[in-house]
Amino acid sequence: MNTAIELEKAPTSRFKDKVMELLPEGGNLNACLTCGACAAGCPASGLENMDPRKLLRMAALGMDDELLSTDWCWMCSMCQRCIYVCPMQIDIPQLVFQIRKSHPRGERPKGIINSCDMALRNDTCSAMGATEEDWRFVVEDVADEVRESQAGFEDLQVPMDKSGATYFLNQNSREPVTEPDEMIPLWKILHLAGADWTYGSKGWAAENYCLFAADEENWEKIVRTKAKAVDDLGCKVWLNTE
Amino acid sequence: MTLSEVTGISGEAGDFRVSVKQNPRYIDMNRCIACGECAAKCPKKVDDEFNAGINKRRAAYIKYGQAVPLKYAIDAANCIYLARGKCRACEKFCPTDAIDFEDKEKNVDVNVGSVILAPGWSPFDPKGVDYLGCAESPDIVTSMEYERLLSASGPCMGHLKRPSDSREPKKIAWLQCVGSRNLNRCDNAYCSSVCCMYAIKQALVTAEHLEGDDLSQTVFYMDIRSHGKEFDRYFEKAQADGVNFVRARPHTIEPGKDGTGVTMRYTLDDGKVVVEDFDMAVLSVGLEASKDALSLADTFGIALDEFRFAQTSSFAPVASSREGVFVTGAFQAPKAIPRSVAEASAAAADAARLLTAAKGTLTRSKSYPREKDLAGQQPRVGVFVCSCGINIAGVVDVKEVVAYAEGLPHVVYAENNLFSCSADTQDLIAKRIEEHNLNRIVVAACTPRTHEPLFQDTLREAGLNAYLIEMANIRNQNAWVHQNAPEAATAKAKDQVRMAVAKAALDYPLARDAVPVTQKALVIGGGLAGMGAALNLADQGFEAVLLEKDARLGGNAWHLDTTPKGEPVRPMLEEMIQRTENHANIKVLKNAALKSATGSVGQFVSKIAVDGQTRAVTYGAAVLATGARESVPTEYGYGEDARILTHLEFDRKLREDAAQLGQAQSAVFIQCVGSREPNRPYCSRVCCTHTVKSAIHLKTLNPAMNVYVLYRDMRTYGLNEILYQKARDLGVIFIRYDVDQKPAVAIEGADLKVTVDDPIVQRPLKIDTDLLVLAAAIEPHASDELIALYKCGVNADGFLNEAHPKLRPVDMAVDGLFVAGLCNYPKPVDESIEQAKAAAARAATVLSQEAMQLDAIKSFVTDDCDGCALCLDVCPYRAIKLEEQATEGNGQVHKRIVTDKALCKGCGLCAATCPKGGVHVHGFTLDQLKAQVSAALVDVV
Amino acid sequence: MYEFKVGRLARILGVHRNTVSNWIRSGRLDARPAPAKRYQIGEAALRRFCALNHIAEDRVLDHLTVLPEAAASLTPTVAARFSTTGREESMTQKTIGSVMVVGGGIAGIQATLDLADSGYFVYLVEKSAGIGGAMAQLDKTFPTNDCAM
Repeated sequence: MNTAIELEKAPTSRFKDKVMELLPEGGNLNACLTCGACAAGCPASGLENMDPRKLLRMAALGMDDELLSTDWCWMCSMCQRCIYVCPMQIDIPQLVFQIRKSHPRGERPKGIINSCDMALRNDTCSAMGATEEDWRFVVEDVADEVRESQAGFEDLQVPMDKSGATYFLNQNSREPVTEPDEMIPLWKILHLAGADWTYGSKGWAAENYCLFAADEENWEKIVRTKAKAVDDLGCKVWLNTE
Repeated sequence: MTLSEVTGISGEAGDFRVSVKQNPRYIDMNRCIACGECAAKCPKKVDDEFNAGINKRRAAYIKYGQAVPLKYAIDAANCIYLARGKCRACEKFCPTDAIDFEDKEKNVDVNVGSVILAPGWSPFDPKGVDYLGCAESPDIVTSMEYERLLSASGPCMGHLKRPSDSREPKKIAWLQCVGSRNLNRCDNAYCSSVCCMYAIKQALVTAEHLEGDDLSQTVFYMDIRSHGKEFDRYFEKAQADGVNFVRARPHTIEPGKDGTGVTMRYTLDDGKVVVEDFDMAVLSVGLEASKDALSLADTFGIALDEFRFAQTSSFAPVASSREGVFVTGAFQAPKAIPRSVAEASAAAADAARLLTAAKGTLTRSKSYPREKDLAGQQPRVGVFVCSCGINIAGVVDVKEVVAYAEGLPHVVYAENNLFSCSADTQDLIAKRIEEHNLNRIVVAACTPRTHEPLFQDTLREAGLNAYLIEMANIRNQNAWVHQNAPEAATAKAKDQVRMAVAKAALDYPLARDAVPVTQKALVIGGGLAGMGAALNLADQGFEAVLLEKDARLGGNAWHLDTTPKGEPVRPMLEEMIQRTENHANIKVLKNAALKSATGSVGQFVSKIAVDGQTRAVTYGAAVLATGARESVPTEYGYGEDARILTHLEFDRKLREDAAQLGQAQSAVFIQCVGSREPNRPYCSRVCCTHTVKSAIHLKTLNPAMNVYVLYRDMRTYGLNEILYQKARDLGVIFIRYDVDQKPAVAIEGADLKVTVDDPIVQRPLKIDTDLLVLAAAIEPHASDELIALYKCGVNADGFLNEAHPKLRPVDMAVDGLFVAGLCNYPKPVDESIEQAKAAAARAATVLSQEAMQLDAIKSFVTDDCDGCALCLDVCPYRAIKLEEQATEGNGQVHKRIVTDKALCKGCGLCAATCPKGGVHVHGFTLDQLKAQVSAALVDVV
Repeated sequence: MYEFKVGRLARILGVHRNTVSNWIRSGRLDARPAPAKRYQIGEAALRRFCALNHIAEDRVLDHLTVLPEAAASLTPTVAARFSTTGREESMTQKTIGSVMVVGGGIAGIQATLDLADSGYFVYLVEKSAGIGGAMAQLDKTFPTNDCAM
């Protein structure tokens, strides 16, 4: 595309300016030197003919239409590699997040939105819809198997809702739902370390698709549900595996 | 005072008491001959700081082979004896008993009139930054480590080897801005000013160290800041020579596949990601404030800026916040060598200015015994063959040479010394002169350029004329270049000594002439630089005549609004003009023109036309500060629309009608208008900074204004980078353009539109603007007249030339002439004033003497001259004139040349040209040269 | 009554400035704040501190500023005016014909040479064992490719 971008005289409020108002120190979004260090390390560079440098440049030039319609904002993995090396410490991930937010909820990627909605359904916060009963059962069942079949771990305990335990361990839904045996190695480590830990029957799911969906209200809701679950058990440390 | 630190200061300007702590060296400097035995026997290894930690030195050490003073020292923190009471090996092996473990710290109180702080800088340490990869790969080095790897005196002896496997690297990458222009992993948001240039230099010098056509050097950068004199040409040359410049920053430097070399990923403008392997990566680390900055600031009570560089103002660039304490060099702000040297002279000027009343009260001059009368004596030559440690003796068999010398005609004594230049050898030579009644000396050692003055001094102290010495260079011209042929080298050394002896036998005493110095100065040009130089010289007690061609003083400064630091120029300018016009020691001549200049350093005479009359002035030194001017753009629609301005016109508008400027809704700045192009292949240095300052000003007047800057490289060097950052933070948009695809300016009806391609989104931008400001190039005034008058030089761009770009940045090639300000090269206010002070300091070294001693190696005319004048044009210093003289007795007139001793440099071209034997050079007469040639060919002819 | 700055005392005692600061805060060093970032301490308290910490008194007392006794009872601001640390108001307008240059790199060396050639005695103070600074470490320099040495 080689049509010229018209930069008009009348001051227009750019999307970038609105984002800057939200961020501490404006996220340094104006400070870009176009050095390209961010794009050089971004795993999503090149997809959709886009990279973090180009994205920020479009924001700077007020190319809001293109900025807010590119699918690249969903290809960013929020890994933070860009801001890590940026000489001006520019918060590109936040810009991406705000772009995501600017999309009407119904137009955001279905997979992410559905997972967010699913997690809101019950207090487990599981994006795969795993219920409290499913969770308890699979944990107990697998724990039994370990005690029976693995030498040296006959008295391995996997506490559930242990009040007052030091650590509240969360768990990504994928393991209990599709690969339950993958939960075992971490149990063994905690057991051998003699850690005082527990799972919760509520708020145990580690993932939070509402974050990726840029749904701040529900992101907060999910975090609060999880936090309450930890506080209700009186645990000191929330051990996050995500 | 080495190994010393200042511990306290009290008093005030003119009269300070400074306490200095002298740390013990543990080696007696009067006895040490720097033989190196202590270090050879010392068992304790320590990281060698001089070699940037690449290799090890010993606890008994010398910084490097040519250290001044050339004496060893013992590092108390690492010495096994001093730390734990065991060893003392050095003491056992020292041949002169110079080790002194009883040495103690001394505290000395010194009374001085002023202080100059020049503690230098520290390189940024990249070890803490994980993505730079230093911890994982040995083939990632800092620029300082690389300098040591390239160095002939460094750990690789000049044969570049990469650290991991000692192979020669073929493909090297430089990463710019490591620890500069970065507020993420360090606090150094400023630009270090020198790294672009040193990386280019390293890239080019690397090619000299390596062989083969498959070499590749790549520089990864954000902006190339080659903003100094001749710097842009060097950058262009590097590109032409095949150095790759890639405008991209890699994200992470990873170790190469097999643990050697590195791999980097970077993105091109269009978004294409490239993965490339290199044999080595060099990190161009920035200049941080000296590690002693804080403690010095504390001790001296001076203010530092947020980066710990000294705080100064643009009109007093070397003055610290404390009267009488001055700051200079990299401590004042990061800068390169030429500016450091000039600024050092500027600090000297300011320090001296305070102390004029006490000038000369504490200087010491040496007194020498009377010269012996050698009338009627045959030459008695003493030969001293130097080992220079292993430098010479490692190749040449010095003992054999001594034995050979003893058999030469006229030689009555010969000996070998370990280091002829050491203090104790000087005493020895004096002793031998006495013992053996020597009246000619031959020193077979290094080049006369290092130590001839030292040996001349030794002769004088022994009562001999300074010019009765010859040096045979058996180091640079022998041992250093014939390392693989020791037998041939020894034979050659004998030849060299034989030749030197032949010449020495014909040496005769020479007297140094002195020319009286007119202790007054002429300053040509009454702008900031001219006034700055005149004021400093006048403050130092010298009368100065200041010539200005216009009706008022001030030059270009009248057109400037504020300095980059935000200081208003007008008030300072007016104050400076007032001081200049009212100074008792300055005579200001306006509407004046220089008409003639004759004479030489110490005694110039000029005619000046002023107010229709002609005046004559005499002066010992002159400062040329004739300034430059803003060029008139020939592109971008300049002159066709009132909205298109140059920088000076913009500043004027700011002064006269800022409110109107603030009403603009949009403004565009275009950089490099007329600079960095074939007809002006240089950078005008001030424009990028002026633009960001102006952009900030516009944004302050009207935050909603859209401001764009179209640039090729942003050259806001040094602390000016902070302004660039501020401009961006305020929302100014910077768009890079390529010189092959310049922006286009169009006037469409009432609209002014600028079109430029954005390299990142890869689309053209069409900017509708109310204001277009062009960074017009600074061009020099025509200098034909000055050149004709003074025979001084200009560079290819027309700017007045200095004698040596690094070591003599304000001296001109003609002795007694100094240069300052824009006429030398474009520069901002603070650098002009700095250079002016530097010129004053350098001129003061001439004017401070009542008579200038000239070297005695000069031409002299004999009766054989018949006035053919062939030599006149040959003399590069125009020191020869043809005169008519009356022959004594018969009243006939004949022509004969006359040589000017002050201008003559003794090069010998006249003597070589003269077919009649009418002119010779003292100390290098044709007879002497013939004797040398005969001696050289004694086995052949 | 003595007056000092934290950094100065730290240097005299060979400790970190934070250590001195902590001593003052903890009361181990019985000093009270004065204007311009200085501290004041009575002579008795200072001698006590030295004795308790096995520090030779003359190592400290000789190097701190003594305040005139009357100043001790004045308010801090007035006392500061009598302080003689650093900026002395000397009655005589003495001018000494010498200069101290701190730092023996290329800048220090150039300044020294210019001053000496102009008629001033120069003390060149260098903390390492030899002069030359960073420039001595450079291989060749632009544009003449002269070796930096």
